[in-house]
Amino acid sequence: MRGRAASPPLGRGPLALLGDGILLFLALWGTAATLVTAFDLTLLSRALPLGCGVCALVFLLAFSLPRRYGLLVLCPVGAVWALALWRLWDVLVLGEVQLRCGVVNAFVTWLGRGTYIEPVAQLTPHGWAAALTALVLAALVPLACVLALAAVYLRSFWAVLCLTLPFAIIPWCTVGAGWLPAMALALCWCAMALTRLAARQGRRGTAKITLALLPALALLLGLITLVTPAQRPQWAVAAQGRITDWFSGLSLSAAPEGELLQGESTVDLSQAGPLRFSGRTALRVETDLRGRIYLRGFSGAVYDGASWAPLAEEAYAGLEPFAIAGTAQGDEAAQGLLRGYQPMNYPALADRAAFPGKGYAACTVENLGADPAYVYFPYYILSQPDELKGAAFVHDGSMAREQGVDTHTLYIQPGCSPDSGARLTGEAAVSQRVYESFVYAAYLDVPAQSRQAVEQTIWQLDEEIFSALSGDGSPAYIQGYLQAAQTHDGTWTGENAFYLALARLVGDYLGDIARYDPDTPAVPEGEDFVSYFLTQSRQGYCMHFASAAVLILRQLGVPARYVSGYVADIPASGRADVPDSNAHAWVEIYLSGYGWEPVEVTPAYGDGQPTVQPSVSPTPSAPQETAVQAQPTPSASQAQPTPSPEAWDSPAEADIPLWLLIPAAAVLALAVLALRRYLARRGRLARMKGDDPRRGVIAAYRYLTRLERWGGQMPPPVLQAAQKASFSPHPITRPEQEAACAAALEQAGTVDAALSPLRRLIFRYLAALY
Amino acid sequence: MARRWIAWAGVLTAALAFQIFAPAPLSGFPLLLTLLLPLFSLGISLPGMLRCALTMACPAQSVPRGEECVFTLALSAPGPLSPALVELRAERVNLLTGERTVLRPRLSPAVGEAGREVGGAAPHCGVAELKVSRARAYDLLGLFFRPLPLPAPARVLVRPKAEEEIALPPLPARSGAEGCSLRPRPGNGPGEDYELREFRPGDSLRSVHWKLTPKLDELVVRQTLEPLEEAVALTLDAFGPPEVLDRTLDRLYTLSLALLEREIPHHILWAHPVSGAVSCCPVARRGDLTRCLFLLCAQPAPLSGRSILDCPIRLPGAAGAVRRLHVTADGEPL
Repeated sequence: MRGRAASPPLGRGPLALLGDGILLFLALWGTAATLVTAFDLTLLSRALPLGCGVCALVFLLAFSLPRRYGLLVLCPVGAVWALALWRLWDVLVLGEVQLRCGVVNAFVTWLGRGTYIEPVAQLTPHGWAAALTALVLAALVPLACVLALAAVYLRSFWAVLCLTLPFAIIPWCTVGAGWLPAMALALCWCAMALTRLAARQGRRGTAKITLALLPALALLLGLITLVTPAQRPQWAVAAQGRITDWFSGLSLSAAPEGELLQGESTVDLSQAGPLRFSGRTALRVETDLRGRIYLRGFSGAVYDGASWAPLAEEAYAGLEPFAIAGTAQGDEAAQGLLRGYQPMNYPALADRAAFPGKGYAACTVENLGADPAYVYFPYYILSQPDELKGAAFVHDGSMAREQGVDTHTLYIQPGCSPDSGARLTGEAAVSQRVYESFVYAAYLDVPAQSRQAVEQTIWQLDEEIFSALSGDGSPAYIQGYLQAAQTHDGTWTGENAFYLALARLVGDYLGDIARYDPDTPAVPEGEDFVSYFLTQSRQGYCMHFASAAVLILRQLGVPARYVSGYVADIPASGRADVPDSNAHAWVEIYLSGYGWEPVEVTPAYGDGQPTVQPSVSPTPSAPQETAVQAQPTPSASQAQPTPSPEAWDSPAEADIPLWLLIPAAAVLALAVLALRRYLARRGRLARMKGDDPRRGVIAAYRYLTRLERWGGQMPPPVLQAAQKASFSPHPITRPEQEAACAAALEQAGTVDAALSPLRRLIFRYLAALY
Repeated sequence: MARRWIAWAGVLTAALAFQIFAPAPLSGFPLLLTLLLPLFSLGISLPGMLRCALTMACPAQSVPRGEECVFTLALSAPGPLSPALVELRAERVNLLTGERTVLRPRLSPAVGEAGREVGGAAPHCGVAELKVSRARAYDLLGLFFRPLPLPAPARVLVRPKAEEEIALPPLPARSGAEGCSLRPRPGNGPGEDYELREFRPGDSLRSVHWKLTPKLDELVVRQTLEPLEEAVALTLDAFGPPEVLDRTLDRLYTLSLALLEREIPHHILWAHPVSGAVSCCPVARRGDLTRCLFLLCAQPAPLSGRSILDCPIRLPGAAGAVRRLHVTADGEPL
């Protein structure tokens, strides 16, 4: 008695036709209008609803009639449609062009990248609308035919859903679509879902239910629309973050453990469109530092107009062997020209040499969703190359992560500043001098295609400075620069202070002439990134400001490089989750005798400077008073700054992920049920075929009694044998026992075969009767 | 119903994923709709589900063996909002042979389906009982149900077929007909039929035949005779394969009808196959025969059991001889 009627009933009443017609129209118009509104297609006025109405009517009639009469309707309709396609082919081609433009432009607007396209042919707006209308109406015919087959002939909710949902889900998830078509589709789906059961039993009465439900459903949908919040709730955003974090954690590099991971070799500026973040956690930081800290990752030295890249390996040939611990042979060779010192340690080592009593701070960074190849570490790192575990410095630009190591603890010398007067001494100073000459050779390049725009900007800045010097009125930051750059007696301060003030001036100037806009579209193809920013768009975000500032400073003779990483605001607890939205780009300039110093040039970060000293919580016991002189490693006798991959013990997180627990529990439950079934079967056979025939017969009788509840029958011989076993003094023979056992097992097989699949599962595994 | 819940869970999961991942405005709409639609469906259907009642009846009290045995299931769902679906689970059992058939009819009061006939061919004699073990009224979506009160089981007698050609045994004559047996009337008394016998102590002097006594030189008593009413008992063994039972019952039925045609009241007796307890049904009219067959066929008949021939027969109210006719599947009644 299950199953639905496959063929339509003869002579459907008017109510049935009306109900099915409305549903068909809703499905057809909802689908077509969703696409039209999603891609902002301009059609002739009222063409779409009229076209949908006519198609719905024709195919409703075709699929409501008996099959032979329905074919008499379908065949001419198909012929007319084919003829129309042939005769209007040129118009349809134009319509397809317009459709393609609409789709592409809609996605370009949504993504914020790419180029808008326009049709080449010159038609009036009405002409384009007519062509597009012709295409849409032509596409409506086969869609209406298939929908009518599903909705009218088969009366299948799932078929209608499968046919219409793909057209709707893509616009809803991406470019967005109109509300009214979405409601039309929802109304159709709900009505068909609610009448699905009744329709399987009888078509005729379903029409009344459909017509009665439609107004109530429309009211329900309207109410739901009113109460649905326009924005995603916080729990959904948090859930998305957790899920994406989990997926990110699954993506493991293919490199074997111990091998350094290869990160993104360049930062592609041409793809820098409107900023979009998923909200997932990129880094998890636990540190003694407090306040805002900058965690540097990638650093770019070479700009080609559309990207930043590190220096090529060949650039470091002059420093060979570059002091990466463990790569050279012999003490002299191991030390190399840089005497075994890593340039990124210079500020910390200088500060430690000048202030030996100052404590250091620890910083543990766990990479959850950032570029997996990099270790993101704060400035003024004290940990030296041979003290790193699970990571290694890559020349002078970054720190690479070892496969399998996600968490690194590094030691920082907080409070470093070029203004402190700290200087490297001894071998470290020698190393710095060698490196400095390398820096001046490698980090001053400005490519030709950007030079004009950069020089023009510098010229404009110079004018502002001259105006300030001549007292003609200038922005406050220029006055501040001049004051910072001059000593109390009017002479210029030291070179480093001058360059630092100059870098800040450049940043302030860029903030003055350009606007911070996170929705800045991508630079048009073929344009130089920095030139376009400085001369045309005058809007951008951190990547734009940092790139322009680097080139300007280089042009001014200040070695500079582009750096990207994350900005973390550490609260009093010392722990912070850094979301991907905290990704940032800034500038590093090289200060003679000091090292690389970061400079914030993005106006949206206000007064935030990477050089602002983050406050330090009570540090662990400082190492003993040992000056870090010309030694590759500090001679502290206490805990050496040996980063180790420590796991982060978060009390809110379970050690075993939930995604593992649930399937494991399911597998365990299945295993328990299977074992129970096996044991029950063994026990049953043991009782029925045991040594005592009397007990065996009674066991068979009891088994059959339980089977009776599932539709089994008690074979009379077994009943008699059981009665004899229970009440008669006569012994039960072995053949009687075997016969009873065989009858019971046969009956069990019969019952099992007669059950539906679900009940059979319950019979076998839950009741354990077979 | 499990499949519908699984489908709904799938839709809910998709709606939840859409809410979490889709940046679209009103992304929570599908989730709210998925959560509220079952409640909406339940709200629409609940009045009808609560008022729905199921009854069962059988049009005929008995049907001949081999013909359709039909039961009628009727739903009453007053009001415009009827349940979308009523699922039943019924079992049709032949009480005599133990044959069992499970039926799962579905009714849809929402589309006007108020009743349905269920049944099937009845190949063997017996009492066909239809019992509804489960009745559920579902809402529009089919996710929620209400169990309906179950109707009382309905029974129909699948009666044997009368055989056209059956060799009837010599049947006892009716009382007063020619060839009817006579017996001495207790207490003598007047009567047309009499016999002469010798005097026994205790005989009344009035019963002495004074004319014959001097001739025979002994006292001769005139004994009045009355017709002897011989009771008829039809017996059969209520066990055996269904086919054998069918033939036995056919013959029994035919024999009983023949006796009733001759206005010969009789009894039908059988022994319980297991306990041996003898059941006795007086049959004086056709209705008695039907009732007797009902009782006989409502009792399960195993393949083997105790024979009536092994049991003593006592007919209530029968003082005279009992003419016993044992009906078997083959051969003449013994």
